[in-house]
Amino acid sequence: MKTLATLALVAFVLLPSVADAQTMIYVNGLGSTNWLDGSSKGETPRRANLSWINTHVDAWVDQRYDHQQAVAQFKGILDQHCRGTNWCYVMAYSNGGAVTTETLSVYGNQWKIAWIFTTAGNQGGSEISNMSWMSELFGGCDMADEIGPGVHRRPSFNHNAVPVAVYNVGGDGYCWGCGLGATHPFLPGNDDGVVAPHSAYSYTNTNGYDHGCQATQWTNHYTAYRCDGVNEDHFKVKTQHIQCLESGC
Amino acid sequence: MAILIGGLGLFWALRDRGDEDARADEEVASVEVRAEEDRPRTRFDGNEWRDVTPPSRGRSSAEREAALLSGAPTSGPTPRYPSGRMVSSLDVYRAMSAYPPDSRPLEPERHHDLIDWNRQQHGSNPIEGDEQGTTYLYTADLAWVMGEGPIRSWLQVSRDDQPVEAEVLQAWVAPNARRGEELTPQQRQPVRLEYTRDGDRWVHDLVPAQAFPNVPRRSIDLVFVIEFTYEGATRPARAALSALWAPPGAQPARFTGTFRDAVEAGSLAIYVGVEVTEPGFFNVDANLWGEGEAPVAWTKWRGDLTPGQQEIRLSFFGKALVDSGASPPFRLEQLRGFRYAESQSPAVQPMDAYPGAYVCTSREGFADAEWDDPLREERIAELERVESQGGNPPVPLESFLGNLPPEQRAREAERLGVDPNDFTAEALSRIELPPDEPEM
Repeated sequence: MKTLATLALVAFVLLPSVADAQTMIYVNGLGSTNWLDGSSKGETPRRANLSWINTHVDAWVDQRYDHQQAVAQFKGILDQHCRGTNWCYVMAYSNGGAVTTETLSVYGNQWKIAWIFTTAGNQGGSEISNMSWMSELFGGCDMADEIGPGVHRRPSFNHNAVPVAVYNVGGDGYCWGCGLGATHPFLPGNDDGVVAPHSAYSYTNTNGYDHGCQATQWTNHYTAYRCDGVNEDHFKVKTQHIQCLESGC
Repeated sequence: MAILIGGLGLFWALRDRGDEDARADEEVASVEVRAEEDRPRTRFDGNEWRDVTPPSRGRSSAEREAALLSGAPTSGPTPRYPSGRMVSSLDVYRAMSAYPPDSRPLEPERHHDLIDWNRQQHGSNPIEGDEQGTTYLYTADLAWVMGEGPIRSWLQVSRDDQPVEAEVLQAWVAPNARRGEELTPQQRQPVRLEYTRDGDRWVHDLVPAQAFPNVPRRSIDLVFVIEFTYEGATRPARAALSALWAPPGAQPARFTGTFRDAVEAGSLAIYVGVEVTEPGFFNVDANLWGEGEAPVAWTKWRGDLTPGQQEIRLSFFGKALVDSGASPPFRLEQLRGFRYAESQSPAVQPMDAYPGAYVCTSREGFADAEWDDPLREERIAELERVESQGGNPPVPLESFLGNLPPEQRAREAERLGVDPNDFTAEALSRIELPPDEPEM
C-alpha cells in the first residue's frame, strides 16, 4: 500500500497536470513554411530554453504565396493547441507578427493566449514590399507584394482589438545582407533593413521613428525590455525575443 | 579572400563618403530651419490627416555604421529606457484589462485608424535609384471601394519638401484574387489609366464597376501600377498601390438603419439592424462620440450571422464612457463591417459602411467598474505563475504609460509616483537615445 501511495505521489509530481500546460508557439516570417524553415533568411532558429514551458510548437504556416491563407492556417494551430485549459505563448518573427496579430484581431478573444512576443515584427507592413527586388530577397516569394503598409494597415485589421498584450523587440543594425544595405533608404526611421520601427514597434502611423518609446502605439502593443533596437539587422534578430526572455537584452 | 571581401565592404561603405557627409550636413541644417519655422510637417505628401510633425530623427543605422567606419566619435553607454523603470507583464495586463479587449476609450491622437478608418496608409517613399533625395507619394482616397463607387488615386513627386515636375508614362490597374472563385484571364486583363494634372499632382478617378463589368461577385484586390518620370530623373520610376473592391452585389450584408439602445450591466448596448445575404463570420466596428465631438469609445463585434434580418449587439463599456467625461447625447458613428471568408483571398468581404449617425436615447447609468470576466482572472493567474519563474517580458515605463488612455494614465502615474505629463505622446516623441556602438 505504501508502495502504491509512493508511486501515485511520484506520478503526480512528474506528470504535469493539464491545467499547468504551457505551450510556446513559434511563427516564422516571409517566404517560410515553418519556424525551422530557413527561407525567411533569419538566423538559425531555436526553441526557448525556459523551464516553465511544457510544449514547443513549430507553427506550419505557409508564408510563400498568400498571406490570408497563412492567417487561416495559424487559426487552425491556435484551435488545436490553445483551447481548454492549455495556455499558449506566441513567439513571432517578421511577417509572423502580422499573421499573428491579424488572426487575433479578426477572431478575437477565443483562445487561451497569455501574450504575443514579436521580434522585428511586420504587423505594420514594410515599405520595401513593392520594390522590384523584394521578392528575390526572400527567394522568389510570391507573397512579397502582400505585406506592405497599405495592406497590413487596411481597415479590416483593427490592430487595437488584439485581445492580449503584444510585446515587441527589434533590431536597428546595418543590413549587409539587404543588397549591401541598399534597402535602408526606403524605410523610414531607424530600421533593420527590412522593417521600419513603425512596424516593429506597432506605431499607429508610418512616420519615421528612432526607437520604440516615442509616441502612439496601437492599444495594447508595447515595447519590451528596452526602448531601442539591438544593434543587429533584420535577419540576425530572429531569436532576439527568445534571448531576451532567457537572459534579458 | 576575407581581407578582399572586407576591403570591398569598406570601400563600398566609404565611397563618396565626403559627398554623403556634405549631404547629411545639409539635411541636418534644413531640418533645423524647418523646426525654427515651425512647419507642421517634414514630408510633402499631400495627405492632410498626416499633417503632423514626426519625432525628430537621429542618425540611422546606416549613418551610425558609416560614422564608426570613419572613426567619428560615438556616444557612451546607451540608456535603454530613460525612466530607468520597468513594468511587469502582470501589471501591464492588469492595467490593460481594466477595459474589455473589444471596447475601450477612443483617443483621436492614437486612433486615427479607427476614426478616418477608410484611408490608405501610405507615406512618401524615396525613388529607387535616385540620388537626389527625390520622393514620391502614390496613394488613393480609399482602402475599400464599394460597388459602383469611384476611387481616386494620385501621384505626387517631391524633393526637399517641394513639388517636382513629373510626367506619367503609363499606368494601369488589374484585378487580382488569389483563392476562391478564380478570375478568368479575360477578367484579369489590366485596364489602362489616363492620369490628368491637378496642381502638383497627377490624378485619376476610376469606377471599377465600369472598368471591370464582368467580374464575379466576390472581393477583389485592385492593383494599381504607375510608371513615371520627373525632372532630374535618370531613368523611369515605378510605383504600385492596392485597394479592396467589393463589386456590385458582392456585399454580404447591409446595415438596415434600424437602431435601439439600452444600458445593460452598466454598459451602453446598441442594437444594430443588419440584413444578411451571405451567412458567415462577421466583424463590425464602430465609434461612440459625445456632445461637442467629444471622443468616447470604440467597439468591435465578432460573430456568426445567419441569412435574413437580425440585430447585432454593440457594447460600449461603461467605464470607457465614464472615463471619457463626455456628456450625452451619445452618437454612434463610423459603423462598418465585413464578412471574413477564410477559404478565399482576399478573405475580407466589406459591407457598405453606414453613412449616418445614430443618437442614443440612453444618457446615464453607466458603471465605473473595471472589466470583470472569468478569462481575465484566469489570465492574471497564469501570468502570476509565469511571472514567479521570471518568464514574462517587462516593459519600459515609457511604453507602458504611453499606451494608456489619458484618464488611466493619470491613475497609473499617480500609483507609480511619476508625472503623467512626462508620458503623453508629445512628451514621448521628444525622447532621443544616443546610439550604441555596433559590434564589429
